[in-house]
Amino acid sequence: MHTLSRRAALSYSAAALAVTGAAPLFGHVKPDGTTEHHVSIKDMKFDPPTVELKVGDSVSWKNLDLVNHTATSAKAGWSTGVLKKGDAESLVITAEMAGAYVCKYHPQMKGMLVIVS
Amino acid sequence: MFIKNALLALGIVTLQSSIAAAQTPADLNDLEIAHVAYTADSIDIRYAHLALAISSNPEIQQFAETMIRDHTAVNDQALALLAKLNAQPQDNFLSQSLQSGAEAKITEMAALRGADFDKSYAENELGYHKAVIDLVANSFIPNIENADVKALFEAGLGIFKEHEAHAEMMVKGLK
Ligand SMILES: [Cu+2]
Repeated sequence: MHTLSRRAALSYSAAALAVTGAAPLFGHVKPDGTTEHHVSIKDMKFDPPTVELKVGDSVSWKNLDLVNHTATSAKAGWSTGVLKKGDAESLVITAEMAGAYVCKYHPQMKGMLVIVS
Repeated sequence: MFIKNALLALGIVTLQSSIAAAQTPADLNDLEIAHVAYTADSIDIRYAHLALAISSNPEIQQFAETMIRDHTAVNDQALALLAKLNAQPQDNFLSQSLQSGAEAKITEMAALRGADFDKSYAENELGYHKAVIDLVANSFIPNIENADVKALFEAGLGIFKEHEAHAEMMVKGLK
């Protein structure tokens, strides 16, 4: 049952990748069963702005803008660090990291990590 | 109308009549537009250096650092693109007007200290970004011919709009 649904998720993810190219809106399932979610930073926005995920999943932020950005939550105490044009950073998400985040340079850029069970 | 407001906000009041008679921003060619943009970015970087030297407000300091970082990135990209196109930006009436407006503003702000400086800097950043956004959106982007140059201005516009909203937040925070 578990294997089946994982296989289904894998093929779904492959289809999503084929359609959207390098920046799938859907995460992809890794061999350990966790999902890697992709957030593009483009035109001064996090896309998608909200990611629903499970504890242990990872999020990869990729900066496609020409200016530097970060994904940072001062309150929850985490940050990708500075992402220059073309840089990506992946973080494994813990329960403490849930909630709102911003770019530390651009406070109008807002994102959200929502933990679902 | 946009253009006139933008020029007024940029402090080019005295040149208004001669501009109306002779040239408007919409008449500039791509290389003149590139020169205006480079000048406008450089001016905001100068304002930011003044803020770093005078202000002790951490919010103002962080904003100023972001202005230097972002406007430098846009200008570096513009220079790289001009090099690729084997083109030189061309000086023009609008670049010169911006420059003289900035000299006056810098002289005025350099005499201020403390909360007076912070308020003046924050309000100037808000007005300056509004004016530049008007120029870029309404006079430049519709008239740029080269697709790569246009794409760079569209990226710049998104960045300046974020700065405008950030400046607005800063102005409200100081009240
Ligand atoms: Cu940012």
